[in-house]
Amino acid sequence: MKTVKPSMPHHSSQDSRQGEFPARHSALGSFFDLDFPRRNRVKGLTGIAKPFQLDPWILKDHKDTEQRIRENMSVLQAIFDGIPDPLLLLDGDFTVNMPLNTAAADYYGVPNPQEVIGKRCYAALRGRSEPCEGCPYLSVIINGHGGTFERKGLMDPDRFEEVTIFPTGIGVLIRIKDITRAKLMERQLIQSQKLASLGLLVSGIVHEIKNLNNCVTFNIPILREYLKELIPIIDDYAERNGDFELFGMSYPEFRGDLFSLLGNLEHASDRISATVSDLGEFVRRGDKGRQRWVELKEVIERGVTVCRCHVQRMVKSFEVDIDGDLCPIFTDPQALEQVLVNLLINAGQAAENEDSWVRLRARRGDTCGDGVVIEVSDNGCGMDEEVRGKVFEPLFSTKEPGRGTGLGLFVAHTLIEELGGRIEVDSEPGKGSTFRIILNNANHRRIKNQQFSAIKLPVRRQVLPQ
Amino acid sequence: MNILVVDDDALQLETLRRGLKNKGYQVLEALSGKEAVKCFARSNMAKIDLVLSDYLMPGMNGIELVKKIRQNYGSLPVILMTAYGEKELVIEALRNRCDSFIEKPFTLDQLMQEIERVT
Repeated sequence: MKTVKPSMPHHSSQDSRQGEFPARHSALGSFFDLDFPRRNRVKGLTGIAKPFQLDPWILKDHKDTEQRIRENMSVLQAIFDGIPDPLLLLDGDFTVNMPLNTAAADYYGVPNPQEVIGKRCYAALRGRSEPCEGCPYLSVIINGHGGTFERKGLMDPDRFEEVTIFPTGIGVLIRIKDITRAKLMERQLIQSQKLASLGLLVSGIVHEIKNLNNCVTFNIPILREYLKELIPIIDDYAERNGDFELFGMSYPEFRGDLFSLLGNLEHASDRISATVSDLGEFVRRGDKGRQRWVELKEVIERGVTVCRCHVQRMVKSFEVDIDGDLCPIFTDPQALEQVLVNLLINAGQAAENEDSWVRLRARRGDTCGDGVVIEVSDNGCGMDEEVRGKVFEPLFSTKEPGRGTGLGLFVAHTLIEELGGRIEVDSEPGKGSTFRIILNNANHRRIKNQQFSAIKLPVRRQVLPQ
Repeated sequence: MNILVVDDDALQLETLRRGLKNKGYQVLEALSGKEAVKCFARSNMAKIDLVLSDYLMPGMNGIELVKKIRQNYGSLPVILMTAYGEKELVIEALRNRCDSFIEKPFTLDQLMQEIERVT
């Protein structure tokens, strides 16, 4: 068979290229009457090689092109891998066209992203014999235009995902984006909006009940006065008519019953009043300006009661140590309680060894500016410097997905700042953490400013000092 | 002694009127702040010795009524009643020279104590 000389312009001199001539490929050479270069991997060309009688130079040139394609592919794969969301490239019949990107391999737990190429996605990634239920892939292919939908996490049902299916010239690109955090924020927002409107509704009802209950509270003593005027007249009558009966009762029995009925009404009215006051107090939670003089011990004990069971389930020992000489402080007891509960639960969640403990300690401040110091410590996993620096940032969380919103410590920090105090943290990885709330002794300043130190504001009546 | 009672709730008004009348007071009634202001205009000022007003009323609330009274009638004693025990409200009322603040529900005895205290 005749060998055609290389015809490419840069192959003008065969002699000058002699030394570079590829070694003969024995296996292919025996099949074709051609000098096939080795290691050129041109298996795709074997079918067309025969009729065209390819020259080894053309094949070598092809090898260069192939090299370039390979390089381009690796650039593309690098870009693909660099995208933090899981990406898949499929063709029309669910076949994976390209290695999974790193995020997708992690997502599906595929150790070798190359091995799924050419396989159906549902088989290679999910071990199924047919497409997953409710998969919108086919409808997107048929419609020809892409789409986005939300779903519960495929691999972790506690998470939320947004899946975008996007047809391209080389196949259909699928992106899976984790939107758990955004969803949780949205939920939290809806929840707080709901609570806010519930709060308005409840405070309206509380107002109405208190108003009406006032008629009962106010009128019972008057009714009692009326009866006191009336009773001597009836007493007189009963004395003159020994067998005087009312409602089947003897007169003395009836007389006793009358006043006990009034007493019951009065008691019930007091109970209504106490209940709606508590309810009003509850819905005002979180409002600004709820500061008042409180016994710190009581606030801490209430916070501890709320989460004691929860914390004790997580750690071996839970100790609370409140110094006896704490003076009353001017603060928002509910906000403080919320912060304490938050810190205690966090401390519990940090536990990682068998002898885990959480301690709460409240004591007087070291300097006169620091009124009270409350410390919540644990011997749990602790934090490195980077985490410690971010711990009060909104949306920062090291907890596993779905457990933390990244808002707890941010809210704690905000609340304490609003109360004019500060919150600090000491921590060492593996040794544990201490969160320290320092409530300033700003109370004296406050009183000076407001000049209301002499006002006593009892719950029931509030009176201007004379 | 003449007391002007202001409340948008007729039941409250009746309750208060009965209680106060029993204790020997003369009672004038108004169902709103505006009606109370008219009451002042109609009556000779000497006839009203004390105002007992609800805080939350449509149109003019109790604190606005206090402001109006202070502008026109000086130091006439005013007691505000409210079903909201908000501290901010108390402070605002006191700033506006309201004499006393009583939280619902209260008894006639408690009201009497306040009346005696401010007059």
